[in-house]
Amino acid sequence: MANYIIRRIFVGLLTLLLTIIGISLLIHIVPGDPIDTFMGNEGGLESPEQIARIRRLLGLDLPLWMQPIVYLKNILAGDLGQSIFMVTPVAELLLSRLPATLSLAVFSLFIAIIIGLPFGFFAAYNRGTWIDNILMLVAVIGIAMPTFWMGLYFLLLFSLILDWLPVASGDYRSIFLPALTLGLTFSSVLARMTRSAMIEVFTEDFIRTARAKGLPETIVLYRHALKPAMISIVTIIAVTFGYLMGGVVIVENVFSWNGIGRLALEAIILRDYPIIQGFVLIFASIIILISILIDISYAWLDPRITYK
Amino acid sequence: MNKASNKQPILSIKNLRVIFSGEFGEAAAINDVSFDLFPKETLAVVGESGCGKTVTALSILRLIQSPQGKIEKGLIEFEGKNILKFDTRSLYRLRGNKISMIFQEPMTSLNPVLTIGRQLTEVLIFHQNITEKEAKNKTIEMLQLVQIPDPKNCLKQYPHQLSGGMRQRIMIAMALLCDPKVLIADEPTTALDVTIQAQILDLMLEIQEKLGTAIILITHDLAVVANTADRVVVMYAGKIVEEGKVKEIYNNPRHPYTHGLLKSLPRLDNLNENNKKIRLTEMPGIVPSIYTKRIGCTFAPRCPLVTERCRIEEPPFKSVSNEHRTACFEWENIN
Amino acid sequence: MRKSINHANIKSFSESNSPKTRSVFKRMIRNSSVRIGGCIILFFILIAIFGPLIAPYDPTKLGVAKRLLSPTWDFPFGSDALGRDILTRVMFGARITLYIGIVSISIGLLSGLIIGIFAGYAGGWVQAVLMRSVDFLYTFPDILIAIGLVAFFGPSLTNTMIAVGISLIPYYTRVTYSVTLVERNKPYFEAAQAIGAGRIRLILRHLLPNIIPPIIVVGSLGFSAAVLSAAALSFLGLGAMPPTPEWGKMLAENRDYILLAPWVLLFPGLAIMLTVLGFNILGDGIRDLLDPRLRKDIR
Repeated sequence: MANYIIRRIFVGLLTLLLTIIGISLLIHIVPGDPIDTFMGNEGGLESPEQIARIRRLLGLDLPLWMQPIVYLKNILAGDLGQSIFMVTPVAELLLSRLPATLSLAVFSLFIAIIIGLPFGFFAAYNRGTWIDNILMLVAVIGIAMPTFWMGLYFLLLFSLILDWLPVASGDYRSIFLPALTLGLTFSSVLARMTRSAMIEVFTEDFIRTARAKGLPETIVLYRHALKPAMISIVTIIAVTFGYLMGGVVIVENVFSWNGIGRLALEAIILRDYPIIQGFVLIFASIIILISILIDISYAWLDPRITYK
Repeated sequence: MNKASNKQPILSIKNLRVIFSGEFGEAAAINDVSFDLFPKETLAVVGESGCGKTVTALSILRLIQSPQGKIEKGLIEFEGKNILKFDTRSLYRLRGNKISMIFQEPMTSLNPVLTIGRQLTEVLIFHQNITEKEAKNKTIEMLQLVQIPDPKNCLKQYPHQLSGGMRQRIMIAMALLCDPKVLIADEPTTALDVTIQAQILDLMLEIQEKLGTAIILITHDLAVVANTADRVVVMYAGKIVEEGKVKEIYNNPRHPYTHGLLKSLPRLDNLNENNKKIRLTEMPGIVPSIYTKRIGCTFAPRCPLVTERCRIEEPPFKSVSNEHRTACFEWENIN
Repeated sequence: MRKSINHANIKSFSESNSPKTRSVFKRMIRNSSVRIGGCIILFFILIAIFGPLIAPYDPTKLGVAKRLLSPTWDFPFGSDALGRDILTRVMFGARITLYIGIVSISIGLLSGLIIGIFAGYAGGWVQAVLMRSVDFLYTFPDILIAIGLVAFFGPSLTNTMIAVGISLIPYYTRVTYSVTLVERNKPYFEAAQAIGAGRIRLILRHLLPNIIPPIIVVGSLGFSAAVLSAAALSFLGLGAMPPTPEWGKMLAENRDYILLAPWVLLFPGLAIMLTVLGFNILGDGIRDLLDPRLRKDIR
């Protein structure tokens, strides 16, 4: 078991390393002088000294192969660079807003799970009946609905009209609307995937065996179906986690939520390259971390894995 | 093998009809199936894939998946009561307790995330309301009976750590824990090696001696039937075409299908009068789809003895001698 | 929308190319999901093609109506903050959306097809590295990839289409790769190789027909993903530039007026939703047809 975890973490770190290298070379992807890309092809507005300064700031004055190394070295020292337009270091900017994004993501995930999973479970159990069809219809509508559209109308309904919830007061209550918006969209995705997973579990042979033993349906469900289903569900969450994080960025914009997503969007428009780099780094790290955690939880849930 | 055949049947199936509805329409997987099972006997149900043997078996314990499948009509009597009319609680008390079933695929029939011990003791705990400790002891006894080495350790293991043969033994143990009157075995050895096959079948017979369970053995393997069963029921395309004592049927088949099945068994002495090897005989044609509408005898399209009457009228299932029944108009003409 | 398509779901469409193809097609027409989705999509395409011809007003002319009018007979969808007729803009938006979808899917699908088949054939470390990267990108939200790309190329509708197309590449690559692997290991494939079929011929004659059905599913779902991503990008200010009547952009332009005129956001949003819905339903319907078709489950 420990062997498996260590191996998994190692692979994760390796991926992270490669990502870092990739990030540091990102600006070179676009053909042409990176400075032009950075400047947005406006050129001519900056003096040569300013261009040189920016070049130095971005680390572009170093030979190509050195850039990732320098970047890595800096990361390990906790330095993610300096923002071009704001005076603060990137690390500080991002890390100060990270908790907001994480709490939004977690809360949304929570809402999505408590709505989506039972929906999917219920639909799978009643597969083929009208219950199933209605639930899945609702789910597919939920997926089709643009998150930002739903968000705006929620904003209208709950904040502006009903005045139940504050718009962007910054206190804990203001997390509810964005989390609800994202959570509902995401719950539709979860519901559909849970349904597929549960149907697979329900048609497994060992469920038939459990019934043949005379066990009542409730025991069959809770003792025999649930754990295998959890494995599938954990997989589902892993696969769709990226989708959730993407949604977080949008929702942060709609509700003016002060997380790293909103910061990143501003940075993109301003071409504040170090922030964009830092954002991608943190984002990739989160995703890698989540996938490691998921793999570890597999080992815990599925006895077949540890004995490989 | 002498069984008291003048006793009352322990399980009695009458006119069972099961339909499946899919996007191709509705069709009867089995139609008008009737047979009895007597105490302590081994009854084999034989037929090709798709003839309805598994559906019949699943119907007994009402394990047919609805809404796709439905038991439309018929009667299944056990200890005098109709299983098809049982309420849920009685059904739970029946399954795994008075009538047990084991399945074909030992690889997937056990839950991979629960220990063997758990999957075994839960049967005892649920049906007999005993403590976990008592259940454990009884389970270990049963595992010894099915010849599992080191039963105590086995309880802590997971299914994927055992071989196919071992898993099937576990399934048998699981089915017999509550000393059921009837054991339904749906092709228990088909997925196993031939050598293991023999072991498992011997085991089943041994246990039958010890515990006195009646066994319904479903198989497509006629050799297995010859070695283990007392009586046999032959099914084709959802209907029973012949029924009788094994020796009688094998020596004196009274239905063209049975006759064909027996003839197509490869034999070591497959030589004709000139001591030359004969080709394996086969029955032309294939089993019809259950969705095709049929009139007359279902076997008519493939039958070597078919007459006009066979194509229009369905032959009734009639006695041709003591405990030997067949559904064929031409039963007398079978060589 | 990223749906999990794992290897197990990709089954061979046909061991040979003939009778099953026709019967599956027939089944498709009869399936209700396919019908409903198909109708919606047809409606959408019709509006996209003919809408601008029959639209009552000029989509970019300001002040055609009074600002923020609620739906009336003259202006069935109302008017926006700059006094433009929303119905007209939605109709023109349909054409833009169709255009976006087609371009994005083309880029994503073709690239994904090529990379996927290549990876399926490559073997060795090339295959491993390639698919690992694709898998990693796959977990990245496509919206963010698109946003990132637009950040580099600069905000514009064209760049949005390209970016969205690129963001869909991992999606298509995975599917193609799965099918390639599965088919390559099938006996008929090996047999064809054994009798000397060249690689190109193998790909064209045997591989592609088997890729088409899952690709249709993924294409349909990808179209809806593209529409949503593009709308999101425009909403965030990275996509269509004014006065382009792109649906997402329309929502962004009028979001501040939601309290004054709630309906002004209703119709563009509904348009997005219905279009996405149509492609989703179609994609799901076809997928359900392909998958349980090959599983003989009656228990």
